[in-house]
Amino acid sequence: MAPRGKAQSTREARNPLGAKSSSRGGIQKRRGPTRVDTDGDLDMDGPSKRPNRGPATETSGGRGRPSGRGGPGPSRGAAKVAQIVMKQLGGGSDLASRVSRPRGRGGQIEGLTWLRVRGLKQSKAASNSDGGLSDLLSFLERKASSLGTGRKRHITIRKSHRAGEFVFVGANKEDAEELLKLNTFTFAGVQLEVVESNGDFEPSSKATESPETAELRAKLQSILSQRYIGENKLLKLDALASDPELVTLGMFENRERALKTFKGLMAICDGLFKTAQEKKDAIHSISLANNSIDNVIQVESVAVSFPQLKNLDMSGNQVSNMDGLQRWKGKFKELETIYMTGNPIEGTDVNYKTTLLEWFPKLQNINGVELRTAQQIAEEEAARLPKPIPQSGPDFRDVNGIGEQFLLDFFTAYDTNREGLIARLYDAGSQFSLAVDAVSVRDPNAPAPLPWAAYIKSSRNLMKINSHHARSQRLFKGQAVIHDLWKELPVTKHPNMKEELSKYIMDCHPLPGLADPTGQSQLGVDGLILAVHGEFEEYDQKSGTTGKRSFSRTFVLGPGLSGTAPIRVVSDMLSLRAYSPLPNVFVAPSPAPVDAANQHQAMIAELSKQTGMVPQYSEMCLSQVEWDFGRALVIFNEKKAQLPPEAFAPAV
Amino acid sequence: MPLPDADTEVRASSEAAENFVNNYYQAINSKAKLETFYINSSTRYSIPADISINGSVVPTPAEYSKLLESQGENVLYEIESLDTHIINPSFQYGAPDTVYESEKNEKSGRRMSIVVTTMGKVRFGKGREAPQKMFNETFVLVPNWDAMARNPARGLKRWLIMSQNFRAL
Repeated sequence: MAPRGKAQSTREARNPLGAKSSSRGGIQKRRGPTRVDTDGDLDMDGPSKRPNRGPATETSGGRGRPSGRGGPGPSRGAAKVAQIVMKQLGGGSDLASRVSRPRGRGGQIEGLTWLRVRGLKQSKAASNSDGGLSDLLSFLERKASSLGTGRKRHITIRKSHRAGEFVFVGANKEDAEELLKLNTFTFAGVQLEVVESNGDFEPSSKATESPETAELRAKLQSILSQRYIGENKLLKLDALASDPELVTLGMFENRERALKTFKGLMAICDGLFKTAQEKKDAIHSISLANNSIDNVIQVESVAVSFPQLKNLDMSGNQVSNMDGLQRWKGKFKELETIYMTGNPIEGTDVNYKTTLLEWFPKLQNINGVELRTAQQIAEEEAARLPKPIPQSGPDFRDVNGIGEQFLLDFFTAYDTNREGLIARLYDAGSQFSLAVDAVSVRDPNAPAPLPWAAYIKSSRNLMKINSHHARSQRLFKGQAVIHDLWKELPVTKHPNMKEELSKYIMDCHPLPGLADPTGQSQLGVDGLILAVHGEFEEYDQKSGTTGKRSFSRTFVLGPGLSGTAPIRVVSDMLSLRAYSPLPNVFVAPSPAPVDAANQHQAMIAELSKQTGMVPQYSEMCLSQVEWDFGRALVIFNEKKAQLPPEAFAPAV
Repeated sequence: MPLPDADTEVRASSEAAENFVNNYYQAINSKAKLETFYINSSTRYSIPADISINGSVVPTPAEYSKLLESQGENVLYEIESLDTHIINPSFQYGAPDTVYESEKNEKSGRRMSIVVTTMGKVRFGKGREAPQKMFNETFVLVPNWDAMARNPARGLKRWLIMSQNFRAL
């Protein structure tokens, strides 16, 4: 709707029969008797042949304007009006496409530029049978096409509709630019105003619908409200064809009309709710019972309008196989209950319940029998989710306690005496670098992560640091160089490893092939590689900030030069990330998955509990269906009547 | 022994680490075979790679593939941090008696062993809401002697995993 168009919601008075033609104005073509639909568009198609009509909203489809060919005469009373209304309500259109877009933008094509044209109503052409619309459109196209200098290009109006005194025309961007140049051109005695539409026009059907349309809409709404049982959140759309009011309105005259009526009812339902949530809250259940439905194509729009429906009654219809339900496969993702009793499928497809359970992930209950519980569904879903590789405690394959001793010593020394630590364990060949991951996953409830300023200028994260110079500069080699860096890094306090072991994860393995610092062994010497993960508290003396960080640190340890320390640090790589507590790998790992035998026992017990069968019969039943619990229940319910009395546990 | 100079060390180790992680995590994400990334695939190495995943020793790359597969569909590893040091600039372990163009290879940093650390995320499932976990992983890469020949077989990796330690954090 145009900004000003909204105020002018009452439509210009027009002869609904539209037969009066003007003798004035040379631009009008001679026409036969014509009908006018509610927005003034010519309605050329008879009721029986309208396959080419586009979405039946205010916007006329295709080329956007009627091409003069007479229709079959004036309206034929209530049924005729009803048909027009159905068209207006979306009955003739693809409901899915309407619903998927915001309301009121029904006919808009992606990428069209919309222009607003004023002047038609004041022009002499307004008295033409179609209100002059077709003449205006061909005028605009013709004039715009002839504007260009040099090679002429045909300008096409792709869409058009009237709203109050305005005509909105949609064209591609280039054409729209040409059309805009027609501003102030004279059409049928009137100066036109052609401006770019600001885009929030809404070809709302309500604003321009005729009294007849409004009346029918009201009637249908009233029928819907009678069929809505608020306390049960149930919409009863059963046996529609025998509803006296709908019959009186001629809404179920024939099959085609019935289908359109149904779509129209769904469209009205949609219109009654402002949000999808409101709709979901108001309607939990729908009954479509006794509607002679043999294929849900006929009522497919229920799945579009009520995707979160919980309960659906399809009983007493004519569905004879799963093909008849195919269109709903993958829809109704929240459906919990369905009734299919009284459909031929009960006799023709013995597996239909199993298939329904597969198609509707939340379905628990068919024909009033619970076939699986919500908990079972949740467990099945959980089983399908990806699972991390399980955690175990430290893989600490130490040699002579060297790795353990190193770790117990290292973090205390790093916190309290970095210089002494370097003097003891680092030498001219030792390397240190640190790498910052500033985008790590962290606990959303934890305090904001500490700033990275103190580390970022020495971070050697090779994902970020690409220049050779920086990579060389940020690799620290030798005692002096490492010490120069460490004394600038923030003061830290690591948890005491003995007292707070669970704040660490550490692995240690032997590693062959290290360079022999004595140069004696050509093949190299054996060492250790350690990976430690943990946290530390930090105090940045420069900025005065304190807080926690998480770290991982990898050490390669080798034998020291004899006479100095027994071990030396070959490599020390520190990785830093925002604080996030570690998983505690020291607790006993989660119990091993229940083995098959135990699982079978549990299923037997559960089936016996749900069905009242004795365990032997539960086991027979389950083994028949390869231990598929859902299918076991289906089979039980099918064969229940044939089971001997001893199959059931005696009532206590 | 013509050891690589400091510049060559940085260049060669960075390049080796970058190539390796690109290929390795892509292989993991696409569930490709992992065998060729490990020393297990070369007859020059008499020992298998030491693979430690979340604290458990995994005997073979194929077993690790199984473990990865058991996580289910749509599990994605993404690296956010990478660093590398040289452990031994003139690695000898498993080397043939005469290494092809030995001096040239040593000088250009192809005979090193290096330690590579990565940190990143594992995403479990598609979409923004999918759970994700941090991980830290350490590799020791050693030369693939088979690739250091006059006419090496095509598709051989230059570096192989001798030691691997993965931890979800």
